[in-house]
Amino acid sequence: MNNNLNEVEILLVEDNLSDAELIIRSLKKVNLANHLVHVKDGVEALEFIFATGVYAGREQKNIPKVILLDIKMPRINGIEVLRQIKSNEVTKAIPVVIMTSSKEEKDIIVSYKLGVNSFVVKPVDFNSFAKAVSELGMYWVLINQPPLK
Amino acid sequence: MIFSTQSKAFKNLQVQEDLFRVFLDFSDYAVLMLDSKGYIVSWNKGAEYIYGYTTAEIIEKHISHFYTQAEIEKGMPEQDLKNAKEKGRYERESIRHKKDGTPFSANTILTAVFDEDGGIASFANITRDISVQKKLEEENKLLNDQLEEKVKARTQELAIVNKELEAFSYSVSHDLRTPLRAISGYSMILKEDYESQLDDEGKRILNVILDNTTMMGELIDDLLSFSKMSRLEAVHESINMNKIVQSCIHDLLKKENQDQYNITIHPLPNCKGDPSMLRQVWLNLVGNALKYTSKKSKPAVEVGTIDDSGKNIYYVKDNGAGFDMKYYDKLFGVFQRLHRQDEFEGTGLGLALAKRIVSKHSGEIWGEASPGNGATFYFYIPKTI
Repeated sequence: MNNNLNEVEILLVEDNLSDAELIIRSLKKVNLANHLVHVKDGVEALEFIFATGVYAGREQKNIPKVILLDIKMPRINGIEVLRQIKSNEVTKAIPVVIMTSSKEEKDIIVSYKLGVNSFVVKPVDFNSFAKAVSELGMYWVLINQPPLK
Repeated sequence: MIFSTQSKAFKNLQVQEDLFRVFLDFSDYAVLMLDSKGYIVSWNKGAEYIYGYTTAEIIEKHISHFYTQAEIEKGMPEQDLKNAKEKGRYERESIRHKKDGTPFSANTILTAVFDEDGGIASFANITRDISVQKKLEEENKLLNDQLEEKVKARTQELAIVNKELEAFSYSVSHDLRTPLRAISGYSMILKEDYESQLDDEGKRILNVILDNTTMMGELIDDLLSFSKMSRLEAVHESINMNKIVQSCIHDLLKKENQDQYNITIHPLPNCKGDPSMLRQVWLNLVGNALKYTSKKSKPAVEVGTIDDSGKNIYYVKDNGAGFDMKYYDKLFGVFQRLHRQDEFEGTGLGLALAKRIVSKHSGEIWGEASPGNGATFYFYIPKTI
């Protein structure tokens, strides 16, 4: 994981520490966790993205290549974080992948309406989960061409 | 002949007199005769009973005596007489007062009696006390209103309960999966990173943990689709059952050794219903047939229909493990199983879900079997729902 907050490739927003560890482990296996920052709820995520609060020193123009966003989190949930990212001119181009445990259709519909780039249901089975995470990481970090800074 | 006619006329007269006497004594109706101007010339016992005046007190009083001051000011007594005069008969309901001031609901029929020249000779004013009837009507209306209120309140309560259930299943879907993934994930890490340090028993235990997390994941998924299916409204389209069954079997056999099964599919008539729901029914019935025949040396599954006087009954027949009809009442229950997990895996929701779906289509589902000799499941969906 990286301490330079201006070179972040993956922003992981996940309140469940076990899920976070499993995600990071899966990304490490495909060498994608070197530039990863893990924030633990929606408030922290917004502070990072908009370079406020504890992340006030960060340069906001250095946007991550992808944000992996959980939905169900205390304080501010993932849907609200998504709404704020996608309604801001500076941040709306950041690819956001919702990763959630529930297949709830209304979450899927709302997320796409708000402009989510991908919606992934976390498989319970760890092998499928690890595979989904590493493929996802490879696609967004290595294959996808982000907008020019 | 003449004598007999006279006798008949005489008899008729007597009948009429009798009738008149009965009428005068009749206590349910106040019968008042008014002159052409509306003054009371006679009244019966019923009038005394209903209004509370003696004959002496009321004779020669004007009919307006029974009207309220407000009605008199509006000219209603004259208007009523005028209406009776013009129409011959005029009926209305009003509030009248007894001598002691007690109000009562009255139904009054005012009939004009004409003389030979067509002028008004008199009026008959017949009044009935309908207070009891009115009270019943009002009570009835009140009860109806209350019932409507109750239905509204109950409907609202149900909507709230439904919302809560939705929130509940959402929570189940999310909150149960997360710790399960942790159990599965950390067991997997243990396996990947520390397997070399475990002996055979340690490895076995780890695999049991992993198998059970998979099982619980399936349970959660089934439970969710069950609760979802219960909430969803069925859509009604024409369905090609042949296609659905083919695709179900194709999907189901992906996991199995295809060649071992002898599967016969007879042509199936189309059906009207919800395609994705009915696909689930076929998946569960055919899936069960494949599962419970999997241990037979020559597993056979047959899908077809029976025409029962116009009703298309679909069936799935297998030569598998079957079950004892003694436990039939448990068959379609939620989380009910007739086989142990180590015999045949399952969550105990498949047939419950199938039944829920068929019921949603106003259809029926049933089965018959005997242990070791296979099972047959039948269902039908009415053509017009």
